[in-house]
Amino acid sequence: MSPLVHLIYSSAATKPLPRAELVDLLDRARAKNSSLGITGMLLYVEGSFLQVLEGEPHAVEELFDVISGDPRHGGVVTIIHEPIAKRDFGEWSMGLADISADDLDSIVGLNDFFEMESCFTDLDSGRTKKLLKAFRAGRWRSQIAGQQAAEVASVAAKATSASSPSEAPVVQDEDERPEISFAFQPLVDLSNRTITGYQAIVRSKEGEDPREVLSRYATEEGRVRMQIQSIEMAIGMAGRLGLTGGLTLSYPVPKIEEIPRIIDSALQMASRSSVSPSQLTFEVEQHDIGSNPSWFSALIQERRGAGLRFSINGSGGSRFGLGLIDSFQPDSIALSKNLVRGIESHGARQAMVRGMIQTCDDLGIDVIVKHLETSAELQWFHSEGVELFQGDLIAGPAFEQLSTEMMLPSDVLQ
Amino acid sequence: MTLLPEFTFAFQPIVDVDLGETISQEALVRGPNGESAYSVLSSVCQSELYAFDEELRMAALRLACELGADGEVRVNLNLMPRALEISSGALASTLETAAAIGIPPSAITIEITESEIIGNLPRFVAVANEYRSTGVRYAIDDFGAGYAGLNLLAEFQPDAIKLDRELVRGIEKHGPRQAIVRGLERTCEDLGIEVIAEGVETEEEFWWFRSEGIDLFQGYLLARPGFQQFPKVAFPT
Repeated sequence: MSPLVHLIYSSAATKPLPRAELVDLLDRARAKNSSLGITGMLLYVEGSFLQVLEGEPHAVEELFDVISGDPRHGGVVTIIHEPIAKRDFGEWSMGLADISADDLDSIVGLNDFFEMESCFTDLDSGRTKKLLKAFRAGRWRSQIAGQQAAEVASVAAKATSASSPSEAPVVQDEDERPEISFAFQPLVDLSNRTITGYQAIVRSKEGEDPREVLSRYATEEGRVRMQIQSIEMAIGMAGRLGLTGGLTLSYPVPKIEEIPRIIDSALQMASRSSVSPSQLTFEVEQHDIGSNPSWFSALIQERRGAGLRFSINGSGGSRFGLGLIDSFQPDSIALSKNLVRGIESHGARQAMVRGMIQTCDDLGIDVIVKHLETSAELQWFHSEGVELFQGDLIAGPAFEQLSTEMMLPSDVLQ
Repeated sequence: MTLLPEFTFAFQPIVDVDLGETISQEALVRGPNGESAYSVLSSVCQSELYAFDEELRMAALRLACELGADGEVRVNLNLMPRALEISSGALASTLETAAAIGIPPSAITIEITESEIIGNLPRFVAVANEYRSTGVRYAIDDFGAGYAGLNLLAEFQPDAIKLDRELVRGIEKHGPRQAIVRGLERTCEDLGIEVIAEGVETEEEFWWFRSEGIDLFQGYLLARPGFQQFPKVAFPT
C-alpha cells in the first residue's frame, strides 16, 4: 500500500461565496480530486474554509500548491501535514447543509449539522475529528479583514469509515521470555466516563516491582532486547485479555537510536496478535527527545503511516521545548508530574497549563493528566476541559487484567 | 587588564502600535564603525567578559541619556547569560549609573535569555527578585526557542517575553506556530506578562499578530537598529 498523508488547512474566502458558486466549486473539486485519488472534506462557514485533503504525499502537495494559488481565497494557513494510516474520508462525496444565516446561530447550526450527519460521528477519534471540533468551536476561522460573508453554508464530505480487519490472535511462544509480567492501568475519558485504553506497566511475575529482574540486563543490547520482548509480551497479553481500546506502551529508552527497532518489532507483534497498530500508543519521555527533536520527528512521521500514535510524557516539565511541537505534533501529551501536583493552588502552573491546553486544542493534540493524587487536582483539570485521566485516584493498575473498575470522586460528577 | 575593544551602540525601538508610540529603546552593542555585536564580544577574553558586560550597560545608559532618554521612554539593556549567577552585583553598577544620570530604575528593562535562567534557576530568581524592589523590569528574550520554554514561567514571571524570531517567521501561514503563540498569549495573559513580537519583518507577520491582539512590536518592518541614534518608526497602516 502506498503511503498516505493528510493536509489540513484553513483559509478565508476573498469574497462571500454564494451558494450556487460553492456548489459549482465543489462539483469541480470532486471531479478533479477523484482523478488524483484525493479524498477529504471541505467546510465553509461565514467566509472561512477548513479543508482536509488526504491521499498520496505527492498528489496532496501538488493539489495544495494549486489550491494555495486560487484567487477565490487567501490567508491560507497550513495546520497539519503528516502521514496517516488510513483515510478518514473514503470518498469525496460532499453534502451541503443549510445553516441559519443569523450570525449568532451559525455555530449552533454547525453543531446541529454535525450531530445530524453521521459523517462527524463516524470519524475515529483522530486528528481530523479534533480539528473539526476546534473549527466548530470557532478556532481556525481565517478571515480577510473587512469582509463578512453574506451567506452561511457548510459543506462536508460523507465519511465512509474504513474499519481495518483484525486478524485472529496467535498464541505466543513464551520460551526465553524475561521473567516479567504486566499490570494494566485504565485511561479514563471523563467526558463519557469510559475507559478508552490501558497503559501497560511492567511488573515481576509475582506482580511486584520489576527492578530486580530488570537489573539483570547488564548490557545495552540486553536491555534493548528486553524492551522489545517486554513490549511484545504486553501486546500479546493485552490481545489475549480481549483488548478493544487503546494500549499505551511506555519504556525507558536505553538509547534514542533504538526506538525504531523497538517500534518496528511492536508493529510486527501487533500483526501477529489481535491488536491492531492503530490501538497502540507509544509514549516517549520528553527528555529523551530533547537532545534530538528533528531526528525524532522524522522517525515518528515515518511510523505514523502504520497507524501508531505517539504521546509525549512529562510535557511542561523541565526542558519542555515549544519548538518540539512546532516541528511535529504528537497525538497526545501527558503533563509533567510537577505541573499536576497541587495545581489547584498554584496560579503560575494553572496559567501554563491553560496555555498548553489552548495550543494542544488548536492542533488536535489530546492532553492527558496522569499522576493524579487528589480529587482537587482532578476537579481543577476537569473544569479546564481536560477529559483524559489516569491515576490511582480513579483507577489503579490491575495485575494481568484489563480492569473495568473506576472510582470517580463524587464532586467531579455533578 | 587587557585592552578592551572599542564599542558603541545602536538602538532599536520597541513600539506600542496601539498607542502609536515607542515605549522603549533596546541598546545593541556595535563596533565603532557599526561592526556586529559578535565581532565586539568575541574579542573579549573569557575572564573579563562579565566585567565588560557591566561596562556595556553603563555605557549604553550614558549614550541613551545623551540621545534624550529621560525616563519617559524605557531603555532595554541586555544581560549576558549567567551574569547574575556569576555575580549577584552585576546590576548594581547599572543602577548606580542610572541614578547618576537621572534615569529611574523603573525605566530600565533587563533582557535575559532562557539560558541565563535555566543555569541555576533558584539562584537567578532570588537575585532577580532582589533587584525588582528597585523597580527594574525583566524581559525574557528569544522566548520559545530553547528547552526551558513554558515551564520557566512557573518559577519566574518576567514583565515581558519577546517571542523568538523562529516562532515569528512566516507565522501567517504556519498553523503549529500560531497554536503555540496563542497558547503563550493565554499563559502570559493569565500571569500579567506582556508579549512582544520581535524580529517582525513582513506586513503579513505584523498583521497576524495584530489580529491576535498583540500591541508590542520590534523588528525591521517598524525600525531597523539606528547606529548611535533613536531611529524613526514606520507604523504599518
